[in-house]
Amino acid sequence: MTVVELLVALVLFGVCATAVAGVMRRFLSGYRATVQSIDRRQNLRIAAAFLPAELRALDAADGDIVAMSRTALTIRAPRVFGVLCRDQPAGTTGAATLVLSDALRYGVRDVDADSDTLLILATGGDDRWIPSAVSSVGIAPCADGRPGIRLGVTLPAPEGFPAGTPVQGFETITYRLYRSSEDGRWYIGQQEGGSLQPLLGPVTADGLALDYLDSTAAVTTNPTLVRLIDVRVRAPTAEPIRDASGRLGQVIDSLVTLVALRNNRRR
Amino acid sequence: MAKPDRGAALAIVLWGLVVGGALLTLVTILAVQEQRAAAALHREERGLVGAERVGAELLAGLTAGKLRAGVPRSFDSLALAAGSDWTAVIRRLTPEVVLLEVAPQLPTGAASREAAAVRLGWLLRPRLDSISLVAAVSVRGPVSLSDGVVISGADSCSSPGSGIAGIAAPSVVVSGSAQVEGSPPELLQVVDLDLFDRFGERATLVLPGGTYSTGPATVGTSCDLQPFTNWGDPVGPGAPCSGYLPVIRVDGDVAIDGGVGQGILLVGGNLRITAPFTFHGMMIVKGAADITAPTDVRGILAAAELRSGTGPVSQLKVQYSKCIITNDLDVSAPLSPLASRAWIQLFQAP
Repeated sequence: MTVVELLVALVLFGVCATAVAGVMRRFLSGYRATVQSIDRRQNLRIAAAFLPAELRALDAADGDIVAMSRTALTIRAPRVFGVLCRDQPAGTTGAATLVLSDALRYGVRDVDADSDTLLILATGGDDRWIPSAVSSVGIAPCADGRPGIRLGVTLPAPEGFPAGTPVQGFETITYRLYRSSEDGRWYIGQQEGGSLQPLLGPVTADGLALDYLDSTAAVTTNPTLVRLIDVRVRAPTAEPIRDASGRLGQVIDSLVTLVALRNNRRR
Repeated sequence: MAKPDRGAALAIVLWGLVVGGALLTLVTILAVQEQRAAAALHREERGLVGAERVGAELLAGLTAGKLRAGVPRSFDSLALAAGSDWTAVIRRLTPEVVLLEVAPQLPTGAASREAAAVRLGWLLRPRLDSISLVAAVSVRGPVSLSDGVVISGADSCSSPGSGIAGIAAPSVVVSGSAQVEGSPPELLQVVDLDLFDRFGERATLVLPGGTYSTGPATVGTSCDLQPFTNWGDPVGPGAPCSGYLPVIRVDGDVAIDGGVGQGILLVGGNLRITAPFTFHGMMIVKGAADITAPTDVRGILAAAELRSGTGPVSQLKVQYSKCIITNDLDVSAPLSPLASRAWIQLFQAP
């Protein structure tokens, strides 16, 4: 092999290697961009699926919105729906035991004595819900012997509840925008009691904007008048990616959803 | 023999193809998963909107009477027809409150991987109508009463309440042995028949015009609700069909060739009674009521015109009964969501 042949071979190899490296770089860049975009969309998808589901079932007129601001919202969120499967005779005030049917219990989780409060539908035709604290949760059979759960509760009035009475369990929870002390990024978090958990993120510094509208679609600051909640979430890619023009940067996407509260008291 | 001289190009290209192919496969898998997640979310949104639509449609056709027959006891449940794409169940919780559950039919096969189930529930209770009855017999046109007519606006319940007028019409002529009682016996005024429209949409039995001979039907000791000529049993308290109070709407002219019935009878055209007929409840006739055979109504009768053939009315007994009317209203009451917290997303419990 001559020196000339060697040089030609080296040049050809260099050209091929550069081309392959370029293709690989584009592949990697595209892969990274795709993964980042998917992550970003997943964030927005969580926002689209989760937040409206939490907000739809609120009865703002009955105090389900505990506190509200542009970047935070504290609500009494429904967690469990159940039906009494044993009569609760009238005459008891204070500690009492309710038994909920297993077969007719729905919810994102079971009743939690540490965090939940109950609303029990009062007898009579005024569609009044009676609040009650939960002190304990156990297992007990229904009147027909089928499985159920036993709830130790505190009844505020000596009202009776027949088997079949609907019961709803709630917990007070806060959704808010916050900056993580660990990575300095912004997240939307879920706060139960003192513990704050990231729900989705990272989002931008203005990544959560909540507007509260009344029945005329005007912005209101009165929690009991809220009928619609406008939720805006802005999420960037976690890492910079190249756009179509080749510039490197974080791509931001946004989600806007308007949630109508379904359970406000009807007149 | 010359040694093959392939260099490194082939190896580089192969390496590139392998790595590039792997990345491409990974991206494809991620994209497919992304698409599935997006489809599931989309499906959930559509499911929610659809379930609310189906729930509203079902709600429009539900009455307390239908539930009394279909889910008489607490925890009884009844599947409702909701089309091929939806399942709907109504479940009695307490004597007053029921739960309507609506969910989409989950797809089978490959599509089930993208399925997101949405199950919605509504807590419902009957809302009693408030109606103001002025007379046992209300007629839009002039009326002439003759032999065999007994009309009373006095309440015939065991614990009678206040009575109403005997007959309300623009003009009333009483002749022969006709008797009219009430407070007052005659109320000379123009009446309207708006009750027909109010109850027409809640009919539990919709029949075409024609000739019917009615009577209770039983299967063993139970009331058989299938025959369209079973309009309940007003004469036999404790009988299988004594608790069946249908809202019957006849779209057109009807001739009743005798029998018994109870509930609410709505006739969109003319009514002709050709053989002895007993009815307990409200009879509302948009056209003319032609009484050509002994007719005994306990409740109220309202019609645009009242006659017997071409002559004055005869062979008609109408006795107002507040408790029968109240019972009818109770049974025909529409269901509506509780005033507060009626809407529930029924997540499957863990």
